[in-house]
Amino acid sequence: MNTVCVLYHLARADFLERVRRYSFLLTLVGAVYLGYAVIVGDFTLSFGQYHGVNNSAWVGLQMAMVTTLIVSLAGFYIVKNTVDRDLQTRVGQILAATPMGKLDYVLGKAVSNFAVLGAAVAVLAGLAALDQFWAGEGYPFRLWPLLYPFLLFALPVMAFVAALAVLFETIPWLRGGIGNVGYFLLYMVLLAYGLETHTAFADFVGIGALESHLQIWLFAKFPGYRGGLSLGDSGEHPIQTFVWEGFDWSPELLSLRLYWIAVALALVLLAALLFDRFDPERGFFRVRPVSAGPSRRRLLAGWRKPAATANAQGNGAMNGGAAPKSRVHLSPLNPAAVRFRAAAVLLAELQLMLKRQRWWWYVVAAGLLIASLANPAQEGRQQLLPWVWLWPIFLWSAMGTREARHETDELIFTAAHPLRRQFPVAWLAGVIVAVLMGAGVALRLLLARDWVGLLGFAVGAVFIPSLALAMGVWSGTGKLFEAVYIIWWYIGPLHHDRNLDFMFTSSKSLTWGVLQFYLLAAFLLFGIALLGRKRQIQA
Amino acid sequence: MYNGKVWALKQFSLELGPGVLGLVGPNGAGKTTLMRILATITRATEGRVTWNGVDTARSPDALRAELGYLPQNFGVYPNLNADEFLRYLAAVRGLDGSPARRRIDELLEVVNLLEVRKRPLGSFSGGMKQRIGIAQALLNDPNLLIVDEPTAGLDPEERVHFRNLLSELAGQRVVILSTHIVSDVEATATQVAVISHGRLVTHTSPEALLKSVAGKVWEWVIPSTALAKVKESFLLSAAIRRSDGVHVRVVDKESPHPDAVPIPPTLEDAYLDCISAYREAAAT
Repeated sequence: MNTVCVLYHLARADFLERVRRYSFLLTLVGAVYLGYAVIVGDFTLSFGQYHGVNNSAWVGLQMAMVTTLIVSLAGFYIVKNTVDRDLQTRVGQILAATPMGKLDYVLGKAVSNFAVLGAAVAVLAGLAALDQFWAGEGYPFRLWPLLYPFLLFALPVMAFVAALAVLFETIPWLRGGIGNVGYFLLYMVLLAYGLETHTAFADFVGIGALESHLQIWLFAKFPGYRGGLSLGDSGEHPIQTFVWEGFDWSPELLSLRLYWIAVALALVLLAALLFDRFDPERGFFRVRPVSAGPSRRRLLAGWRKPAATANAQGNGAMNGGAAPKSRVHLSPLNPAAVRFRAAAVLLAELQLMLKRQRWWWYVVAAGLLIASLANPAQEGRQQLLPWVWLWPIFLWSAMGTREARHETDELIFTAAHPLRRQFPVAWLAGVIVAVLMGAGVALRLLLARDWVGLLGFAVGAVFIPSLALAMGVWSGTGKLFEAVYIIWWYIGPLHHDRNLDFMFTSSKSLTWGVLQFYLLAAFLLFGIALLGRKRQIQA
Repeated sequence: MYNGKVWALKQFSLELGPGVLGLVGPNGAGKTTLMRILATITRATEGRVTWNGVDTARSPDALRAELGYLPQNFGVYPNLNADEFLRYLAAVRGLDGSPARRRIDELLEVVNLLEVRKRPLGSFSGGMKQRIGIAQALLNDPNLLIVDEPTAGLDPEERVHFRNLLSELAGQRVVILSTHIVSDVEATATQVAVISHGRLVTHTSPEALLKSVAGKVWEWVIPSTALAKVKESFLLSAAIRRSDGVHVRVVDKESPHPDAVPIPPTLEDAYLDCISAYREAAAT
C-alpha cells in the first residue's frame, strides 16, 4: 500500500471516529452559535468609524476573521486529543507494530485535525451567506468574494493549528495540561505581537496583514480616515459605510498566508521527528519512568520461584494433580469495622490529588504562599491571588475525570453510596486545595478584617472546584476546564473584569450581586456535576 | 438492551446460593453484561435482580455494601503504591484505621505483593496489577464476589493460588466467576452456568454437566493430513501432535472411527457439547 493510501485511510478513520462522537456535534453547535453571534451583530468588523456594506465580500471577510480568531483558539483544544486517544484506546500499540512510518502517522493525524476544523469553517462560511440575506443589502450574492477570505485567512490558520496540536501531542510534557495552558499563552503572545508590529512571521491570524491592506484602501478612499481595525460589538458609535468588493489577487498577500501552510508542514515534520511511536523509551523527550525503587531486581528475583517449580506446580494442579495451598487464610472481617469515615476518604482524595506533583511544584506553591503572607491584604488579593489560584489548575482539572482516565470507575462506583460519600468528599478536597493555596491571602484579609474580601475569597474557593468537577464529569476530560479556566482567568481575575472576576480580585467585583451570582453558580455546578456522576454510575 | 436494538441478555433467570458459580460462554454471549448488571454498574432495560429480596436497581447500595467486584478491564492510579491504592479503596468502601491496615496486610500477602507494597503501581506488570485487582475485590470481605476473567495475565502458579483462594472463600458466600478458561471453572466451581447469545443454556453442577457427556468423548490417532477432515466432520475438542501422529479428541454420540476409544470427559468437552447442541437447536 502506498503512502498516500495509508495517509488517506489513517485520516479517514480518525475523522470518522471523531465525527461520530457527541463532542463533534457540540463543536458544530458551537460554530453555529458563533455564526449567529456575528449575524446579530455581536461581532462587527469595523475600521475606525467605517464599516463595509454587507455584500458578499464584506460578510465573508467579517465571518472569516471571527472564525480565524475564535476557532484557532477553541479549535486547538477540540482537536488536541487524537494521539492521546490512540494511546488511551491502545490502538497506538497496534499501529506501532505496522510498517507505517512516523511521518505518515503524524501527517494523517494533522489532516484529520484539519478536516475537523475545516468542518467548523465550512459551517461558518455557510452562515456568512445567511448573514448577507439577513442584512438584506449588498446584493447580488457572489460566491467567490464570500469564500475567498475563508481560503485566505481561515484555512491556513486551521492548518497551522492542526499541525501544532499534533506537535504538542508528540511532546509528552505538552500533551497534558501544560500544553493546554501553553497554547493559550502562545496564542495571546502571537496575536498581540502580530497586531502590534504587523510582523508577518508572527501574524498567524492575518489580522495585521488585513489591517495594513484595508487601511491603505481606506486612506485612498477617505482622506480623513482615522482609527484601526476592531472586531466586536458595533456599539452606538455612528458608522459610515463603504462598499468593498473584495481582495485583489496580490502575490504578497498570498505568500504571507501560504507561509503559514509552510509553517504547518514544518511543524508536522518536527512532530514526526519527535514522535515516540508509542514507546516512551524511543522518543526524543524520554518520559521519566515511574521509579521502581532500587530493589526492584532483587524483589523480582525474590518473590518469583524458579520457573520450573512454578510450572510444575501450576501444570500439576491444572491437570488435576496436588495443588499448592493458598499462602495465608483471610481472617473474617468484623462487620462493625466497616463504617464510612469521611475524613479517611478526604485524606485519600487529597493524597491522590497531590501525590503526582513533583518537588518544584511544591516549591512554587510555597513561594506563592509566602509571598501572599508577606504582602498586604489588598495587594495580595489583587496581584497575587490570580497566580495563587492558577498554580493548582492541573489538580482541579483532574477532578471528576480521574476515575474514567485511569479506569478505576467500576472499582469506585461499586462501593456503597458513591454519590453521597466519595463524590462530595472529592469536591471538598478541591475546595481545601483552593483554601490551602490561598491561605496567605485569606489570613491577611482576616487580619485586615476585610470581611467582604474574605467572603469573596470563600466564594471563589468554592466556585473553582465546582466548575472543575462539573466540566470534568460531563466532558470526561480535564481539557475543557483547563481551556475555559485559563481564558476566563485571563479576562476576569487577571484583568479585573467586574463580572468575570470569579476570584474577586478587585473591589468593583465585590458587590453583593456578583458574590451571589458566583455562590449560586457554584452550587448549581456542583448539582450539575452530581447529576453527571449519577448518570455515570447508572450507565 | 444496547442502543435500543440488541438484547445482550434475554429470558435469563438464575437463582444463586453460596458457592462458586462458573459462568462460561463464547465471546459476545453476554457474560460481561450479566456481571455488570449484577455488580450494579449497568441497569437492566427489563427484569429484576434481587439480593436477599432487595431489588438491586432500586436499592443498589444494599448490595454494594456486601459486594466485591473485579472487572474485566480496570486501571490503577500509577503514582500511588499498592498500599496507598488499597487504603484509598478501603476508605471508599467504609474501612479505615487498624482493621483496614490489617486487612490490607493480609490481602497483600495473599496476592503475594507484600514486598512490593511501597512501589508505585505504574511500575507493576500486568499480572501484578491483576493481583491488586483481586486484593481490592476482597477488601470488604464481600458476601457476593464477582470476578470477570480474574486469571487473565496471571502466571500458572498465581493462577493456581487464586483458584484455591476462590474455593476457600466460597464457604458461606456467593462467588461468580466468569471466564473463558474452562479449567478454572473445573477447579473451583460448585455450579456451572453456560450462556450463549444472551440466553441461559444450562445451569447445573459440574458433575451433572460431565455426566451429560459421559461415553461421548473419543480419542484416536490420525495422520496430520487428515486433521482438516476430522475438524470438518466432528466436534473436535483437542488435537495434540505427537511422534506417532495427531491425537484427536472428539465429542460424538457414536464412535467416530474404528480406532477411536472412549475416554473420560472433561468439563471442556461437556461445554463444547452443550454449546454445539444449543446452536443446532437454535438453527432448527
